[in-house]
Amino acid sequence: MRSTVLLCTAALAVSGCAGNTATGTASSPPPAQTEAIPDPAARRSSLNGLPESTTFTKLNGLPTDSKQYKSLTGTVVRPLRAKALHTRPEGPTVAVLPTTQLGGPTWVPVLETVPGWQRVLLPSKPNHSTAWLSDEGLETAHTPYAVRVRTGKRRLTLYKSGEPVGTWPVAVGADGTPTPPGWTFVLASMSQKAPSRTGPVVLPVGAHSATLDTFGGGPGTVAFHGWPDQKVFGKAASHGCVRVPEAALKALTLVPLGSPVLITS
Amino acid sequence: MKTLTAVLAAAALTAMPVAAHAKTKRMLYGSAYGLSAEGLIAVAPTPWVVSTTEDTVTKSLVTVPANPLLRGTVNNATASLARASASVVDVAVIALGLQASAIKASCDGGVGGASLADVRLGGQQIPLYPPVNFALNVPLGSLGGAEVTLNRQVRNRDGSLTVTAVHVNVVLAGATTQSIDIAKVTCFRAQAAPAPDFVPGTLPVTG
Repeated sequence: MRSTVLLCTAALAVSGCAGNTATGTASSPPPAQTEAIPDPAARRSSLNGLPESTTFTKLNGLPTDSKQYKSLTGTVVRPLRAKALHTRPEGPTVAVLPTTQLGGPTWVPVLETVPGWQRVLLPSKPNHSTAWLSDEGLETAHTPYAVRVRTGKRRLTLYKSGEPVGTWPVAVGADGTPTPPGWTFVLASMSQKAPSRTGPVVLPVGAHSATLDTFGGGPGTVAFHGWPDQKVFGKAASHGCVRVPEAALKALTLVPLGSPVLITS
Repeated sequence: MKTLTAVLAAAALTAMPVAAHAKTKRMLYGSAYGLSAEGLIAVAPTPWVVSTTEDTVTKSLVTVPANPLLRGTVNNATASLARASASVVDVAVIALGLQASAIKASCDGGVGGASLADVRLGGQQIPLYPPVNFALNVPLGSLGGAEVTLNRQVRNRDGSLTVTAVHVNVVLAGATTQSIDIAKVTCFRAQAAPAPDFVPGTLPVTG
């Protein structure tokens, strides 16, 4: 994996580390500098000194989502207190899931359940990391929404209760910086005041670029966001993010945190 | 086979009537019980707990009424609308040679699973956490056998999920003569997840 730190202009100090902004390709990163704002939780020691699972961390020793689930049930859980992450039910504790992610509540999708335990997708690296949480101290909810991104067709479809409610052309990762395939989830809903090509709304997901360890001072988090140049939609042009039209972004802002996102070719 | 046939025939003479289940038509509810049997030998769902709200109903430490088919102690049966679990210990289905130290089923917000500890079933290896609808066949002589489904999960028409840790159908001469359920729970989906609030902040993402 390339370990690349791409720096943005001050005007793109947020999620607008957006590649060659003139043409919408990933081949020519913007040259100037920004100040990344790390998640405070990433710097905080957590339960028993174990690392936290956030978009800023990489956790080894956890199982990955290897079952290739055809669909998820829409069940999402929120830890009401920092929860230990186990490699298997009753297994060793290797990390902690904090109550917040990027300033908002932590909601993660449930992959499978056994009595007393829930297996969830995590927001930390590597992609598709999973862990088991005990039932205690979890709030459970149901999201009817799911998002599917087809990178080959460069389209995003939003589903509600299994039915498509909108589909839009989008820009996906360029050949050298593809949008990572597989299941992930809506991690956060962020608004920014600073001007940016991404626009004021950025919706990070639980996945990271597989080719960029860092980007713009951030950890390479993939996100949904807008883009000012309409010509980019329908192209493979980003560093991994999914650039969406305004109507798509408006619909996506209603999608509960933790809602599953499936990225396929 | 003779043993099973004899047991079933003898029991048929003294079979208990199947208990009337809770009448919950068109009503959303969560439910749980530890053990039940229908057919030649009937054992009412024990203990049958039902909740139509988020309030939890629980019954603990209930021993199955004496019968020639199965035994066990229901450690716990608990249900609310969106969460249910049942745990049975020291389980034995005598005619099948099935024994387990603990059998559990759970359902939470519309997803569920099962666990079976220290299971003995005709020398077959049984995983602690069997996959969904894990099927086994237990031969019972020339007349038939038992179809055993572990972690049986059924999505009901009303949207609820029913998880049965162990479901047994005894088929003799081509007909189902006996069914057994161990640790059976039903729950509905959880409350709707909230639409997110925007959080002011910045994160450099991969544009």
